[in-house]
Amino acid sequence: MSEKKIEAQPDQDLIGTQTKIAPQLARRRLLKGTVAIPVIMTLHSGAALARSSNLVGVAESVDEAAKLQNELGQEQIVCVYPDPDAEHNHTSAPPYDLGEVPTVSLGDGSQELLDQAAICQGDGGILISATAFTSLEGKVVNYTLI
Amino acid sequence: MSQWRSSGFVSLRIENWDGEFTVFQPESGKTHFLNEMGLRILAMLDQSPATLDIICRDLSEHFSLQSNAHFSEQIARTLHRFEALGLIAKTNIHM
Repeated sequence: MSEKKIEAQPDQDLIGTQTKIAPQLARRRLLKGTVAIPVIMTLHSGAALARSSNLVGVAESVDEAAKLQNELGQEQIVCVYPDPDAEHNHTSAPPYDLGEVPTVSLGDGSQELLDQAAICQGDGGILISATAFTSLEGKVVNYTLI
Repeated sequence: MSQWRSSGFVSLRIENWDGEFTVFQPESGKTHFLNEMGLRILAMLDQSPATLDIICRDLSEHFSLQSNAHFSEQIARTLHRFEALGLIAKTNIHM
């Protein structure tokens, strides 16, 4: 990044004859203007964060939830567990971080899907969408049965 | 009594953006945004280790500020933040 690139970024939005200060500029003024105290803000490496976290949302219904089929052709609900040590999970709100090595439990195929989902949630697990489950493929090493 | 020293200052990649500074820390892969006072603390400790009192005195003189207990507390918090980020380290002085 160069000084020229910084200068090329529009700091102000011109609306009619009025000048509106962009939030970006306001933030820069806050940082620069605060000379009376030391300021430090840290940007975490996106790559490092991506390596160490698996953020997922919650499936809104059992229909939407990821499932696998056992050898008898019965559907097993996919249950994953937020990493209790992940800083991201301290808010207790989605998305949840499943940690570096997500743990997946599969429901008992002989039970109704709703019952499997209830057991999963009662065990502190969450249901995720099939798409989210696909993104975890290759990272999940810990499969267990509920 | 303890004093602070810089840690890995030479490895930092520092860019000056008109009085604001981006500091890339290769060791952690993190980028820090500092104002002038934040960077001065790091640069000062790279020159020589210093106690909180010495750091506060230098900053208050350089930035023409009044050094009081509140200012000292803020600097102490910053030092602990820098320490947590691995930018500085604390050493004990035996007197």
